Amino acid sequence: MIAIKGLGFGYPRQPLLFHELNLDLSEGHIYGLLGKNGAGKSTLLKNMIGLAYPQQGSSLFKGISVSGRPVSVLQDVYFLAEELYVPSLTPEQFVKNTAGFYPKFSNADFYQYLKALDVEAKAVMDKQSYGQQKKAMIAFGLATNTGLLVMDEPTNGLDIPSKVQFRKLIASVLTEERCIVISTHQVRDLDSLIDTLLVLHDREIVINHAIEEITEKISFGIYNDTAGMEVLYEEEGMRGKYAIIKNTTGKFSKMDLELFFNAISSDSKSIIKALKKD
Amino acid sequence: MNNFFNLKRFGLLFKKHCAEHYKTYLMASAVLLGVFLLGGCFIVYLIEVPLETRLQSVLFVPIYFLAGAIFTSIIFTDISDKKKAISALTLPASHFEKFLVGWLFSYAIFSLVFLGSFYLILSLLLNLRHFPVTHISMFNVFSGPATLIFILYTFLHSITLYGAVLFERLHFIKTAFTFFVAVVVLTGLNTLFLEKLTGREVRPTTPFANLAIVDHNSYVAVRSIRVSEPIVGYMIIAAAIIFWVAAYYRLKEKQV
Repeated sequence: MIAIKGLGFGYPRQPLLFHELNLDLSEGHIYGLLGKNGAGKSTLLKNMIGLAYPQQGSSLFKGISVSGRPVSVLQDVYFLAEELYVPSLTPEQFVKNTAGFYPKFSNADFYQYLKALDVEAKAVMDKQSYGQQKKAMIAFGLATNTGLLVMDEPTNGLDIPSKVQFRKLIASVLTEERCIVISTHQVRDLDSLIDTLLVLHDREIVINHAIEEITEKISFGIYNDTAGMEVLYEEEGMRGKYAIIKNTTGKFSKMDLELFFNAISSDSKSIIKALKKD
Repeated sequence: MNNFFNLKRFGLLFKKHCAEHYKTYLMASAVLLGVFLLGGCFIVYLIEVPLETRLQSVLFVPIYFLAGAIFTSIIFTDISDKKKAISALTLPASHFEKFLVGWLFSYAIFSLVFLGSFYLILSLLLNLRHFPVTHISMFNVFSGPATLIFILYTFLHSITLYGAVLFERLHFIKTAFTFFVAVVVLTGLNTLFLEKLTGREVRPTTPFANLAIVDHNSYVAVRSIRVSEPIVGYMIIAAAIIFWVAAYYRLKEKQV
């Protein structure tokens, strides 16, 4: 669905943020894009949907270049930005004026999502809290039923019940024809939601693996002592040593996204090496 | 699918723009009426002169140019502000449709509202106070010589529209500043060019203005022949079209 080939991009008067970056995203998946602050997550997403134009290489959506933002692409893509803008309208009025641009928009879905997220359809959006504004736009984005749904830090500003509801909704809207990309640095929010993990580090996508594939190759656990184990990364914690070790038993463990992300961020080459091995 | 223009999509975009901005536009229209009323009352009651056609044009032209330039320079604020730009640029409508909505509001609709407001207040002012032995007629903006006002406004609009897309903040100030710098530079270059062409010292002349040769502390004005006069108008309109096209391409290239 998304094919980024040899992407080179940098902001004016700044060094290139990406150089020769390649990435393929397919339908039927929920991708979690992780990266440290300033790693370029938002910029990568913008290149993906045509808000930024590559200086080298290309970014294609279903084979069409997103540069120039053709309507045929925009109709099948919805981007929920981290910094939201909502007009001085109620969600009901907003839908009345905006839904028509999205051919697959479902009014019934929209009101159902609003209800699930506890958002008042008749309240003027810019008078609401940031969290309520965000939820209204999440409901809108989901109801567009676009093939590609890209969300940048969608859980920022949401309270805990809303985060739970958000995860449920995202899981429920995934279809074989849809691709969802969620970027965040709040890694816990993606726990048990994403099926494929992308990690952006040092201007590169260093990890692009299915969660199953990761847990097949490495294990996560808390140990009193890791002596004698093939430890790839470990951190001291309250309950002992939180470690990532090579999966030699073939048993699957629950992935600790935060620990994994910390390992990658601290330049743990051994993990990347372990994941690359067949 | 037509990625350039679709009437239904354009209609939707026009409707959306109205719904999201009508309050601001209504307020702006009320301010315009207030400015006309205040300016007109100043002439009629404080200066105490009849509001004859010349004064009416003085009331019309500067406000038309200034209000038009200010309004046009903010017409694309939705794509200047980062937060707004994301939703505006990713909205499934073509760049041409987005440009056309901005153009229509800032050029055609603004001019119609401006004319309506002007004549409404003018008819009120003319009936408000009667000066003895004076017959006052209304300034006709559609009469022959007044057409130049619209030609100049077209040019001014095209420049401010380009500035509205080009700059991210302080659109009006930055456009006006660039415009005046450009006028000074072009006048200097044009004067040099004319001096080379004629081999004489000439008075500083903006491009397409009449030539005046300095001759023993006096100027000898060289007027263009009557037939060539409309060419200047066509040149101004051509320059305006170039700026409109440039503004459209600038919008197309906009990134966040």
